[in-house]
Amino acid sequence: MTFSPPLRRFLRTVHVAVSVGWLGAIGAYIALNVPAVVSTDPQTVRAAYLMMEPVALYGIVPLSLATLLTGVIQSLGTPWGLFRHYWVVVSLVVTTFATVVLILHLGTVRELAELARDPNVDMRNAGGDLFHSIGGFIALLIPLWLNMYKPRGLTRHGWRRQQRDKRTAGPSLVDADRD
Amino acid sequence: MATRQRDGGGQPPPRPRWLKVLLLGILVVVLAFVVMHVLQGGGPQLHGPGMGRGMSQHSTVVGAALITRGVA
Repeated sequence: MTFSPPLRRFLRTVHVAVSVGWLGAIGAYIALNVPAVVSTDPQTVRAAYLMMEPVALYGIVPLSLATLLTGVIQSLGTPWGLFRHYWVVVSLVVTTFATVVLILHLGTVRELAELARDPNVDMRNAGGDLFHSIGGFIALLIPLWLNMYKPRGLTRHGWRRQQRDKRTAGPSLVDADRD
Repeated sequence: MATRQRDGGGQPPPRPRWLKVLLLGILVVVLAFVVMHVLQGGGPQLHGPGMGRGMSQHSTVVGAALITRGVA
């Protein structure tokens, strides 16, 4: 099934918007970690930890799921396919991995926010949450690069599909409109 | 064999070089992060006036860090 060009463009726009938004939301999360790590003011540190929870829960997580969903839908509705090109497969694997790690990490984010709500806990030495956020940011640069440059390379499945298409329908769908 | 005959007997293309470089890079970065994570002690560390309060409510990383610091 191949979507019509207008629908394809619309889906691509949505996919770019949510995936770039995901990176931006992680950027905001990293920014909140800066005062959490370097500030000496207890209230500033506490506020930073309290804000990390809604940024992760209502910003990063929905955008990550939307990125995964729109990416899969888009690939299934274009000649690129989901498993025909290495760059699509790697993008899918990295995005899925980042989403799973993010969801598993939500528990820690909630616990840090819960601790920050306790006025008797000094959060200045909590150490921040830079490790996962910077790791996630770096990981998401991989699908970004792959989606922008679309490096060549057919998977075995893609190659077989291409051979079959060449025999049955003339020019391969894989080499057709790549939008 | 059946697949090759069906595909016209050709060979599938080799894996592209960029893929090998990328996978190697990912492996190096993952290993570096794992080492850093181990060296950091596995997560946030808390101490201060509230240390040890409400530990039963918190689990996993933060709870373990609190317990560790409390014992230390």
